[in-house]
Amino acid sequence: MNLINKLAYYLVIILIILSINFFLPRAMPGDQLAYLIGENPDMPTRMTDEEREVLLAHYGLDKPLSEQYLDYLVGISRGDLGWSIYRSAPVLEVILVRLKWTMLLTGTSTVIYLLLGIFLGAESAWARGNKKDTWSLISILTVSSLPVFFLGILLKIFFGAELDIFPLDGAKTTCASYANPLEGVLDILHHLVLPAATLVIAHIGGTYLLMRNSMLSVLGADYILSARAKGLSERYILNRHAIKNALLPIVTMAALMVGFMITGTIFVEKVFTYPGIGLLLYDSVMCRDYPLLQGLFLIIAISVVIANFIADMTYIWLDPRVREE
Amino acid sequence: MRISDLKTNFPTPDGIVRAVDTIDLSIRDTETFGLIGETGCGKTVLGLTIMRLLHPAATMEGEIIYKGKNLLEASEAEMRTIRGREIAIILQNPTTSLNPVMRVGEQIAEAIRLHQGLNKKDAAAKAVEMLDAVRIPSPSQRANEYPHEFSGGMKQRVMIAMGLACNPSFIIADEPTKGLDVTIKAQIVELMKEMTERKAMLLITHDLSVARELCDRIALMYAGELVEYAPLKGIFESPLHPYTRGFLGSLPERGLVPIPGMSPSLIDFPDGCRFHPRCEHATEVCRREHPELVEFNAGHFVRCHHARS
Repeated sequence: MNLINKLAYYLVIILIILSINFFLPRAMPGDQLAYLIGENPDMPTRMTDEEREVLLAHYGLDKPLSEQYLDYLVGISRGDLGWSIYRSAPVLEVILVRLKWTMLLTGTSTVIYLLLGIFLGAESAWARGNKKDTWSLISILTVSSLPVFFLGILLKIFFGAELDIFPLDGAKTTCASYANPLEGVLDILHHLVLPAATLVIAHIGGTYLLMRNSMLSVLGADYILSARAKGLSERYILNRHAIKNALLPIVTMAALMVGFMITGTIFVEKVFTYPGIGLLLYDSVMCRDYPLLQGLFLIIAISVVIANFIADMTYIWLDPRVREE
Repeated sequence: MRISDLKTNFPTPDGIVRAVDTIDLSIRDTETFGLIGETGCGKTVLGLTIMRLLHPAATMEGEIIYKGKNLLEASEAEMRTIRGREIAIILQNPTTSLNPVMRVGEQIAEAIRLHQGLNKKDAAAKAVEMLDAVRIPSPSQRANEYPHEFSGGMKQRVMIAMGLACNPSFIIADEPTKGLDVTIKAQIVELMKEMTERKAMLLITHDLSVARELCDRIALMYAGELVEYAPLKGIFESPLHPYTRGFLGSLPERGLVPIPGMSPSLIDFPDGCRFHPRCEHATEVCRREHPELVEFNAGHFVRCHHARS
């Protein structure tokens, strides 16, 4: 029952996102066809009224808004996100080719920065006030405060160019032929190291700090005193009593971070020319490929919704108090 | 257990908090000793000092001799074998003292596994037995539930089961009836009486009616020190200290008369007798000289310049 309610709730959210995605570009000022003929006033391109009508009819823009909206929903339910103008291919196809790279990149780095941040944050809180805590706090916050693109460039120059141990860009070696599949996997991982490391370093600060603070407040809780009164060892208390309670705010943060991760990948994918949807987004802004942009926004919005759904489920698993409601 | 000359201090930016100040008392093997006082007088700190569960910054002086060993000199590893097994504390506020994300049965069983070396299954079964002993209905089912599914009185029962799980010989019970309504309170008092019959217990409370039901001897604590202690009868029938009389007078059946004023901060005590600013009998000597704890009648100690029967 609970789960059905939740799913219904997320379905409504997705419907609202679809509607916004439909109405937002149509609410923008200007001519729908402007991008076809260019907006540069020095280029006196002209369209006759007949040409306009043909084009509008071709894109279905001559129909009333309600009909366009219905067409749009029907199209999406069939997996039709439109036609990319610049790439001359279906939007969904273009996105799917790129999506796997972004999922590999953000997936790997999210798992690493969450685990590492949780671990370091818990250790830091446990050693609060000690040298170990102070130094982790200072060093992690310093490197994490650097802007993503700057960090990426630094890593690229140092590990890519100077030391020459990691490739400078791309997701795999171009036109390479591999002796066996393992070699291919290793090549992909080799290309993944620097962009993933950039994202990990850029995002670990938030997780670390939140885990440290959350852990500090948990360590002051009465039930920790209660556990110590039973004669349990400090390590046991940390693992069995403290961590699960301290993780609750991290779950919320991780879900919210997914949205920011996409923005983060735009810079990282640009710096490392990594063929994911961040770079695709950047390119489609540059060449004003509106249908593709619209499709990308939709995919990003839906992945944020999915992340929230996962967070909700994790919360239910972690906190028995939420299960009741 | 013999406590002598015990001082517990906390350094704070505002000065040193002297939460427990030169306390001497001994608790016999099977007696229930009541420690009574207003909020903030240092009684909870005394309980936590015995368990050595205070913040690392706290400093402790004096001796707490338990079974021939000075607990203040015991290592942390030694203390871990004593906590829960020899000496158990039933903490106040069951709602916050139970881990919200751990099943109730497991919170009892983990101590049993640790101290009695039982395996997971046997310890879980023992935990169910404990829940049954504190009269929780359908204990095997309740053991798998979480604290938020229990009412306040039931949580207090869980706390008692948790404290007594490894059959400790000394129990510290900190406000076990706090926040319970009258009928539940009576049930908990009855349960405590039965469960701690052959054990030593230090009962920390500000509820005289509970102390009267459970205690053999009672001490009154004011501003970090004991001001009077005596057998139950002595306190209720012939109280010597004005603070004790004031406390008794604030009982509902004696007219609910409050003691005027507030208890002093534990950083800055008044000169002389610490109670003198609130005492109607205070004289010049009370303002000047700090009274000693003296044995007025056999076994009846009081700290007052003007003690009279």
